[in-house]
Amino acid sequence: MRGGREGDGVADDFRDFVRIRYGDLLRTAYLLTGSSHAAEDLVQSALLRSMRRWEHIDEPMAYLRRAMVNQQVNLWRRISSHEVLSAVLPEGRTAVRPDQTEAVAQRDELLKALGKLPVRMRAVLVLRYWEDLSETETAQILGCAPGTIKSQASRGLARLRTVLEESGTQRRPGPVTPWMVGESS
Amino acid sequence: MSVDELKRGFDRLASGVVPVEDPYGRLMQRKRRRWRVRTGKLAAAVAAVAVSVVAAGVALQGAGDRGGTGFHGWAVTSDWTWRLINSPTRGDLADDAAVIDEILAVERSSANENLPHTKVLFAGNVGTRTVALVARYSDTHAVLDSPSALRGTSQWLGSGNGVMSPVVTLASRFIPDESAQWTLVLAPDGCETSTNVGTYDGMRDRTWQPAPTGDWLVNDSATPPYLRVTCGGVTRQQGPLADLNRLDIDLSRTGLSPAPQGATAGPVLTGAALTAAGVLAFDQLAEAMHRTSGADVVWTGRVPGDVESGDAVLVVGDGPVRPVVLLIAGIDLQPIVALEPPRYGSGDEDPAENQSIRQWSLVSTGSAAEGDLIAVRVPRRAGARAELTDRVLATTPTTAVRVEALDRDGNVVAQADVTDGVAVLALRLSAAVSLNAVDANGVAVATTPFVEPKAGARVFNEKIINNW
Repeated sequence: MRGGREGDGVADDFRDFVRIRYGDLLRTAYLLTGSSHAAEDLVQSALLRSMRRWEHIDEPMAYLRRAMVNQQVNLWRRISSHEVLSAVLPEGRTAVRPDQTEAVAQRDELLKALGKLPVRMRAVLVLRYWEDLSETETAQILGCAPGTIKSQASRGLARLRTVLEESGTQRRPGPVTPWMVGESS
Repeated sequence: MSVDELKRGFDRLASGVVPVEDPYGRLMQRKRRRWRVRTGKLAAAVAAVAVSVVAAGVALQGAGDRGGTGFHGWAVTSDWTWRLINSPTRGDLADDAAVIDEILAVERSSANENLPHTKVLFAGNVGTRTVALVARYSDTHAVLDSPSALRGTSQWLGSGNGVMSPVVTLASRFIPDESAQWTLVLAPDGCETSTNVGTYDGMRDRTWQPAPTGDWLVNDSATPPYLRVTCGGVTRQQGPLADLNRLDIDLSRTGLSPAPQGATAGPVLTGAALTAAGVLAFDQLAEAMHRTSGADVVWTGRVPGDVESGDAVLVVGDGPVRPVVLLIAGIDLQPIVALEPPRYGSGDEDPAENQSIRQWSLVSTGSAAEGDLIAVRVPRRAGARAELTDRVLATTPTTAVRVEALDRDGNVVAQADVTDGVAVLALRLSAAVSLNAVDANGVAVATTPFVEPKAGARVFNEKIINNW
């Protein structure tokens, strides 16, 4: 039991955790799903499940990452994410600035390319290169050998490269423009 | 793409994701909604259009969730889907020009040049809301939108880009703050929709209540309806409007707890928690299938030959044809359900990755006659889903030493010795045999038919029809 807390203490702990870490979980979920709706659904579902056994969870972030990844690779959630994946596209581009157009297009292309990866390969990339987890930590979450993570990450990057090249839209890596930085909220 | 490029890309994608102001409040709102659903015995999720109507709570800066120049919708692969799109507008507000104009105005706000046509398929007052089902489509692709607003208001809650299919549904549980319980079903013009009335005992035909509205219906029962759609006298769809692929088991209601997942690499379900989970899984499936309940745990143990799986529990209901549920514990409490035989070549998972799928609990279903000889197919993981195998687990009377499967000519086509009260037979899928439990003297001490649908999804050996 984490911290030996019970009753209201556990409830307070859970509430504080949600308030502090919800955004982090949501961003990870968004990268896993490619959809804002699916991301929120994924986070909330995982949190509600964790809530029932909160006092038994020693490492909540690790637990929730694992829960979200597990849910995401479920068949129906995979279908769902495909359903909304392509919907996550920029609004009409006529009114945006050139640099904004570029950034939105890059984001759009990456999302589409991620959507063409097997769901677990996508999860490997998100855990390794967004969450910055080690191969061992990622392997623990996904329940496979570190060697599998290494090969999946390598193959995932290669496949992303191929997809972007095939689409004929791969853009040269360039400096992060001030607009891109300012995009962060 | 290099690691650094991908990291920068992730940064760009994630930077636009902003949580709602009160995520905890939003979470509790959802929890209360789930509680209402559960207390109303809506344990299973209505599958269709689920994602399209999940509550919106994330603001994406610079990227909307719909529209844009690259999204072409979902390929329409059935003429029945076109028939639905080309059907006249249904619903009690179908002829209300002001409402239709309002809906179309909402749709224009999310226009997509790749889907130039818009058709209001349904407009009506359902529950506390005015609900619309709208198709946006091109010559080859389409999406389903389902905006709704509290009655008497123009504050439409948009949701969309769902998959268009010959029959579309919308359930209240997917609409934030909708207090009423209902399920809206819309079929192509001229078809007939019916729902199962009462509980089904597995023996006779189901009792059907045709919808007075014909090709659409609103069902306000607490349990998602069991639906039948016939067109021109042909049954095109028959089955539960519930997502049976993955069950949602809440052991907290039983006062039991699974082993903490973070503290064990083994199955979380053992002992009383395992049997409770089996009964809860049975309850959910029986409810979704509108079957009688009254579950009994008839066996727990390890399925012979399953050296890597956890303990299993076999739960049997009552009635002349008894529904059967087998649950095999995994590391993850929530089970996936094997509904079909293997779909060869359909998996997109890397076989090397499948090891991790072992954490999910597994469920399969079957049916049994009266007596102690109860048989059910053993499920297995297949990528991210579960499927039925050619292994049949049979429980036997205590005096039995062997189980035999006999074809209609009386030939033994499979047999297996009994170990610890159960036997596992290698029996091809789509079987139509009799199972005999035989004692040491070769005398049959129990017998039961074992007859399955030839193909497709099935629950409790009842075929789920999807014939569009």
